[in-house]
Amino acid sequence: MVELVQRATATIATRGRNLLDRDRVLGPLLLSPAVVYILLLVGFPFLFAIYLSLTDATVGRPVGDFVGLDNFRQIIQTRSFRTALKNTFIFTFASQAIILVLANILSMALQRDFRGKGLVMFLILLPWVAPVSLTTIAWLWMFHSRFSLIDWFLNRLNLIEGNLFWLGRPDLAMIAIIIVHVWRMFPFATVILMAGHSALPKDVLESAMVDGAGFWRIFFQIRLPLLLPIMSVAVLFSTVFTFSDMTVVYVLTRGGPFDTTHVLSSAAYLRGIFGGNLSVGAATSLFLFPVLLIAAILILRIARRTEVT
Amino acid sequence: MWYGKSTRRDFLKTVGAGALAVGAPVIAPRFTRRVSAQSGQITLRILQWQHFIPAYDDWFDNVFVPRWSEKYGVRVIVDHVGLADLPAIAAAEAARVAAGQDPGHDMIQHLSPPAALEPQVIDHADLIKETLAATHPARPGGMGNYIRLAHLSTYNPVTGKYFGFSDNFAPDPVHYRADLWREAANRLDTFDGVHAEGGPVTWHDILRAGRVLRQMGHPVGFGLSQELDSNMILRALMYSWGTAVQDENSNVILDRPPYREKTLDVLRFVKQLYEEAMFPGVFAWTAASNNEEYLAGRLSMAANAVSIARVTHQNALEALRRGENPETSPAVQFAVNTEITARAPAGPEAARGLEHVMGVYSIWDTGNTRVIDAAQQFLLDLVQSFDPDVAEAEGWGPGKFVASQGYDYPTFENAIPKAKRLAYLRNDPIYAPIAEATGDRPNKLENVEAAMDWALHVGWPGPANAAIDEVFNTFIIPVMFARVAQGIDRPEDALDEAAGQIRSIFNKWRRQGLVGGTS
Repeated sequence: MVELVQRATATIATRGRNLLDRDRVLGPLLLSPAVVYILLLVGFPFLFAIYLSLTDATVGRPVGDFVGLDNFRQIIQTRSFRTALKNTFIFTFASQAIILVLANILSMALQRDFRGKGLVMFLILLPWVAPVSLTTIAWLWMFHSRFSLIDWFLNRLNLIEGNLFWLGRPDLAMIAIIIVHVWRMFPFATVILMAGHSALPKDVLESAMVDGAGFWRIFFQIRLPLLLPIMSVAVLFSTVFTFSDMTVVYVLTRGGPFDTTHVLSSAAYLRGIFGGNLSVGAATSLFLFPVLLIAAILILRIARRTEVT
Repeated sequence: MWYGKSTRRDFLKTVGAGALAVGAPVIAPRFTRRVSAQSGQITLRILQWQHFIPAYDDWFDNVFVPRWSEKYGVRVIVDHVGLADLPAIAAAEAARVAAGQDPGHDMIQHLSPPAALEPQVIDHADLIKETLAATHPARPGGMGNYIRLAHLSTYNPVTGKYFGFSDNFAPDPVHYRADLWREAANRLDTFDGVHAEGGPVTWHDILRAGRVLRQMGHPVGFGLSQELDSNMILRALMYSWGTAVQDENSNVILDRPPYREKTLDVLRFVKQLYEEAMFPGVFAWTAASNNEEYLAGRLSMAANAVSIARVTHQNALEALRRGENPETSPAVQFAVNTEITARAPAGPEAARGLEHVMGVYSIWDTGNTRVIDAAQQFLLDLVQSFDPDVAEAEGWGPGKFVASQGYDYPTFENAIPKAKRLAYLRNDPIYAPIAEATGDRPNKLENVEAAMDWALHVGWPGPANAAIDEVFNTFIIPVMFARVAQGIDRPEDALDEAAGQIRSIFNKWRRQGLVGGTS
């Protein structure tokens, strides 16, 4: 009897092993936690946002009546939404352009070994790893209308007199937001580009130097083309983070002065949660989707191409 | 968590059981001490703000709550958050109540009327009636009226429901630096109608003196930003100019004749006030900024609850403790020179001001009757605790009014009778040592009492409905004023844009049956 049970157990175990050896079974099995995770935490909220955007749901009555595309029609007509849409692109592209330049400079500078490099690396990574809300609060004080450290410094240099009121003027407030985005995102791009730089084939660079190519020629004609795939990944990831971020705007300006610095996510939060208008908030946030979808497709394509080459 | 079907009466019977046995104090209530064996069966979870007067939270958390908890055998958990975080948390909890889930707290103290949450909260009408009827031997006379300000901030005339229970409001007086004001008055030859003593009486006084004050390096400071203080003072200006967002019947009026001209007029006035007497920082302010700027010495004037004055008092007391000479100590002199106006500044139509914050508790309609009953009992006793004599008799001393240093004003008119309020303010225990050291008068904040007459609510002259709540929380009014002040929009364009948004918001809430009016 015992032998029978042992044989049956062994058979089941063997079959199980055989089953796990099959790609068709093992693949989905390993992927399933990620799929479930995405469905629950991304897919469901996304579908729920679509549902909300087509209803008149509010915070007090989250199950609303169907109103079709009324919410979308309504928000497109508001100036604050159009400003938020425009700002989302301005903040994203302006900060990415600056990040790209700074990250390239820094990653090349960090190619060389020097004393204290570890500490420098740690300091550079700090903005990326620190909680964004906390660091933005620190920036809030840097841009404070009275106690701004930046203003104090500029006063000491006799470049200004008094305060600049960074967050009280639309142009300066937008610059302040871009500064914070650049500050917190460029470590991420730097690390990725450092990996890219160190992976460049040395023989190609050395040949170019032997042939008399200068720094700029090597940079633009050899380094940059070779770095392009990995740079695209850095830019796209950074774009997605910046495009969908609301913390910097929310903490720094809350969309002010007078709604000139809202981005889609902060505008959605203001209308949907603060204003209690869930449906309009959901409709506003859904305008992020097409851009993020395109960015995601590009990231996947580049990743696949990099994998093949 | 216990979800029972018992009634409030059951709760009261239960908690009353052990009262005599343990020698309860003399409070009248039908609610008396709960036997200790039953302790811990009910947990009451409260979310509220971090009070601008820290001493209030000390009293609330360490005196009132533990003693109330001990008396009724109800475990009480209090979470404090910054005032800006309240709406988001309330929204999340409302969604959970709607989904039949535990909201996380049983009641929330909001700082503006949470009308949009009405479907998910209980009707507080019975509680208001019971509170009005409450008596106590230490406070002869009843509670008086539930003041109009509170009624209009918590009652929805369309549904007939009280969506909240207001226990207090904070007056929003104008604080000014008396030394700077005097100097400005003396410098100004054409200071006709503006008195050197007593501070500003009208908004035009503020404009005329403000020009000089700014030249002196001390601009006046009224927010034009997306935050609470701006929302309040700009409405006070509108009301003083005779215009408002809605009328008594919840029709949008700010862009309709005859109010349109009044709104345009007040927009032009604020633009002039900004250009001639203020500075660009006001566009970037948070709710704490006017306090910071005033206390840092930049501003000559700001509108806020008495917390500004109280901080100057605390700083002065610390200076005295350090042994500084009261005649020369900057902190002491700063406190002495900080005054509040006798009334709200007058506009062309009237002198109208606002409450600074409207303390409104709302209890989630979870169906858990025992917890809901406990919450109602808690609120009733919290209002009772306003009176220092009642509070002392119950072991809750010094009580809500004194603990808040006069910041929390009663919405039940006689929760602390006027005579007791004045007795406190006329011999203000916080300011008394400063008054004694400097020879200043001790009744520094007595003027705040006038707020019982002039303070209006957000949504005046109509009810604080869900549409008003959304307009308030999305800062449409400050944005309208700020765009005009900065010269980005003409007053007409800013008004039309704001009115369009507001009308759309009102229409949506009307379709949901929560807001009255037709236009």
